[in-house]
Amino acid sequence: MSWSKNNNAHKTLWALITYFHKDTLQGQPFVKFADGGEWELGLVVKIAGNDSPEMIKDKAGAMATLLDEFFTGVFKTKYEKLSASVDENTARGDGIAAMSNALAQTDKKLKTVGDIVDEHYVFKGEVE
Amino acid sequence: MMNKGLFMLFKILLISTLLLFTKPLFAQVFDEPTARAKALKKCDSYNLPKLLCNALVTSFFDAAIESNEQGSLDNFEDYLSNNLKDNILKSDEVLNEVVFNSGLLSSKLEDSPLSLKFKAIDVEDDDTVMGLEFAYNREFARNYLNASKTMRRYYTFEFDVSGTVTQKAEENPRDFIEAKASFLGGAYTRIPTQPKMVTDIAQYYVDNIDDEVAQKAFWNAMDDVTKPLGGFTYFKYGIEAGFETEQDFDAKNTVITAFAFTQYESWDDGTFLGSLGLIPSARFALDEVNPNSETPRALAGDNSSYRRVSGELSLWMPISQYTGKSMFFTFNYRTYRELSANDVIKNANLDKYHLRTYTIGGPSGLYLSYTSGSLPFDLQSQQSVELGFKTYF
Repeated sequence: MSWSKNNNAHKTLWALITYFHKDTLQGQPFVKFADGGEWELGLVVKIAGNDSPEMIKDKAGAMATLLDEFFTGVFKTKYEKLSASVDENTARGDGIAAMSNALAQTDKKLKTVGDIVDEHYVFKGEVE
Repeated sequence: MMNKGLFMLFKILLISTLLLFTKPLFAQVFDEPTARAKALKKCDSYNLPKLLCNALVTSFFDAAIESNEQGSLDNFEDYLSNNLKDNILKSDEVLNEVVFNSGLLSSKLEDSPLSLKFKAIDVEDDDTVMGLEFAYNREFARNYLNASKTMRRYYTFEFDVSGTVTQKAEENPRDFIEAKASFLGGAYTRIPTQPKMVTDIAQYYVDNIDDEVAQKAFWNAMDDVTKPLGGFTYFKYGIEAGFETEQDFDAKNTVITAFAFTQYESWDDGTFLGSLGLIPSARFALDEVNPNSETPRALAGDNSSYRRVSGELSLWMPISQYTGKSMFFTFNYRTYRELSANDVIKNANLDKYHLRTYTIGGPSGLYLSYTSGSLPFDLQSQQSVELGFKTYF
């Protein structure tokens, strides 16, 4: 489990999380990338107190889906697992499911999701 | 890496043992606060999970103090043994760090549909038992239907197993295991592929991730992407079939569930939701439950199937603009009702519940929480599924 400034997947993940939380962050002391990795996933996914496990899982799914849309639509990332037998829809489903499972572990930190993103998406500077 | 960690663990235990056999010297030179602080600081440099190192050091020095207070180090070994048990074997935090969050198992589990976690569970007499929470969630290949310009629609199949087990089933207050297969469908807002200029601004921020100006430019560019879309709509529905059971698999409910979940985030500051940053999420479910003859409900004379409905509303809203600090407000409302419940259940007031929870929190944690209402038997939310099972069968 790493959280590195040398990893574009980790940095892109944090960049998008800052945007999804800009209403909480703006006007406040700047939160650096390293500190962002320490954010609890309950905060990242916007969990309310006493949300049921089903609600948490569905909110994590919504956040994972949103990340996938921004990765591919804005950053134009490709899917790491694309192959002759894995089409784009399957790879998209795999990426969203993996991120969703990770984000639903609400007592863990954002840095635990970085490598999972890296395993499913090809970011700038990576070789497909 | 693990070998070095084990070596350090061995080294600490060796030092502890040596100190046991050098009691007089230990008693003479022992400057506890300084030695403890020095040892805890050393934990930073050891290639050992820090939580484990801290627990070892704390156990050792606490045992020294406890035995010293009795004017003798004769019971040091017992104190050390008890402290190690309390601080390591009874600490889910330390066990999770050592077993699941560091080393080989951590990397194996990271991208796995299986999650494992130790959980210290409170039981009677202020005691705790160590439970193992497990969850396996596997979504099979997702199929997308004809995508429109604004929405994606999909369907898929999923398999889930989850539960908590303890060494002895009778000691498990969260004695609940659930397994289900699901057909799921959904639809959500699609982000169109953006022009190169937008990608360049976004990538510039990623390349300069701790640059505040680049962050502001990125946020502005993303606002230009999201505003025309109005908001992010996420909708999911499904039918699930599965069973709920206990650790010994005697009592069992088969359950068929239909559910729907939706979340909406407005990206338009001109709307009520957008201006507040308020994100509502809602979930509804209808269960058909068939208990077997071993369930307490059946043993009490009622093994008929029954239906239960549940609804949940969850709100999340930033309040930084009012408080001047990074803070948010949340509200959760959960309701549960057994349909056509018999008189015994109704008279015991177990056929319905409502629970409202208000919280104020921030990146550093929870500041304030208020809950009214209750779940059956006044147990709390994480146990609600277990409650549904335990109360109604």
